[in-house]
Amino acid sequence: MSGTESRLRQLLEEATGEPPNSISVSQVRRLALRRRTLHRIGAAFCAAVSVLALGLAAPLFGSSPAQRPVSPQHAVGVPRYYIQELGLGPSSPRALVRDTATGTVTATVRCPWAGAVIRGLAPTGGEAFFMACQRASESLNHRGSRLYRFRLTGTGSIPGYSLLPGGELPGLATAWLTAAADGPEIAMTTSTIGAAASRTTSVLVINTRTGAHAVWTADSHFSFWDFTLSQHGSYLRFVRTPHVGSNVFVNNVVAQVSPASRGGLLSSARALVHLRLGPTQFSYARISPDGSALTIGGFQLNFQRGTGTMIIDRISVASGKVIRVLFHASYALNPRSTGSHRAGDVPALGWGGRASSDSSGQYIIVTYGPTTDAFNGWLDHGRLVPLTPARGPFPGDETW
Amino acid sequence: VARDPDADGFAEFVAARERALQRTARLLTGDWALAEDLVQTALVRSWPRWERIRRRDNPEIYVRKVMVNTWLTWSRRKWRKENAFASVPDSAAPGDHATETSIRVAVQQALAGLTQRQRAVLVMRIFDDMSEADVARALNLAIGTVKSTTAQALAKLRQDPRLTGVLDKESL
Repeated sequence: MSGTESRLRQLLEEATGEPPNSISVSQVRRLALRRRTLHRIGAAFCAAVSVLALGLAAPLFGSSPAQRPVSPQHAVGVPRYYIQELGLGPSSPRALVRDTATGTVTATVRCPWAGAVIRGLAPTGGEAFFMACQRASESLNHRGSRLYRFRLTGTGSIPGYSLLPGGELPGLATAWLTAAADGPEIAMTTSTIGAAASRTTSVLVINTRTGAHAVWTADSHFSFWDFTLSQHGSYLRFVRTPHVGSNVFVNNVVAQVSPASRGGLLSSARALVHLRLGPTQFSYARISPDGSALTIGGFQLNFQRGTGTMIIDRISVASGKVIRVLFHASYALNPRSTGSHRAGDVPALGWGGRASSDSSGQYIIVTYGPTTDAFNGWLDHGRLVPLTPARGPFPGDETW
Repeated sequence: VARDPDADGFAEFVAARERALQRTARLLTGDWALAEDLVQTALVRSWPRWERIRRRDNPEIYVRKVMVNTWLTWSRRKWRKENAFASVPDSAAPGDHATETSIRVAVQQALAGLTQRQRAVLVMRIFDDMSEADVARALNLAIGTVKSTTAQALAKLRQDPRLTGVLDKESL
């Protein structure tokens, strides 16, 4: 080995250092078994699809467009992994990636920005996610948020995070992060860190390819949450709630601005549906692709009866009324639970309910129940399928 | 029925070599998380064939071959080309470690400037101290190609302005 080669070897040794983690044989064995199982399931699925395709092929010849099968992107299966934020409240230091089938933790999501906490995760399909990280340092120069993108590997690990173009937001806090399917745009509410009122000051839409910002200025008489971006950014929809006394859950309206990338005043939004559901703490709202129905997830309190109810309903956009109950579950409230509250204040109540979906809106995760013993699952055609862990302390936000 | 990994020396191999494999993977990928994922994947792919692999004179070459091929496949996928942020610029180590850190970063950046084949050959040949014949076997290359690729990679590193005065420091 020449002198240069020896020196290079020395430099490579110094540049590498020691691995932070060890790989155990049990880890390898577990992943190998899972890989083999997935291969078998995949082979069985392919065989079933082939048989089905052969059966469908003949009648399809000469059929009208409406009778043709849906595109493959609608035929996606249940997400293989879900992400569970740790800690209650609006921010988490880290989140866990769990295997949907077994609940095994396959990776930990952490903000790659030192001292920052996770302030939102938004799925975009294909096991890719956007993440908002916030650092509320005492030094004003270092306060702010950063937006990252990451993707899960086939084994559920995270190879790295990339900072989004236009994803540095000095001095700003974010909430209600959402992403368009396939990720061309993201949207979130923003407010100044440390401002006296934590009320939303604007809604920011970012083009994830160019980093271009569009700002929708909020109206101080309303709160805005549960944002949905259409796939190509043609509209931004959200739930709008007026600040009327302490009861912020009535007179909810689903409204829309378009195009999302234009920016302007949120007060110019067009109301689509007036939700006539009584006081409801919404955590999920998504309009069907044809715009005729709205699926909402929320938590209703009835202090007279002493009950709380987790609801997932489908609502007619035309009438605002429930056209189909997808899931309802009631619990007796903790008698000490009193006072006013807002979306996301689950821990203070002793009882809560929350829903979220994958980027297609097809698979909804539901968490509800007492904060000390909440139930965790997902909806399969109205049936609640338990996730692992199925019961336990109310987790932070979940997504997949 | 799952095989017992201890029965055929697989567990011993993992225990003995996983850290070395991770270090190689770190030089290939530039990121510890990705390196760990890469080594896991290579071991997962090797395990079902371990019975056959262990009969060879050096099973590690086969595992490294799987690892490099997996890395090349990942590199071709568009999303893997995103920059991984293991640490962020504003948290760089200050003070006495500055020089050491800058050399480390320079080496990593210079390595990233090589082609994938040059990086793989250089890392296996120089860092892992594998013979030209073993590198050729692991990468499915001719021995002559390994020699010429090593020479090209070294020449490229010598010309890299980030390594000026660093690479030839000891050899002068």
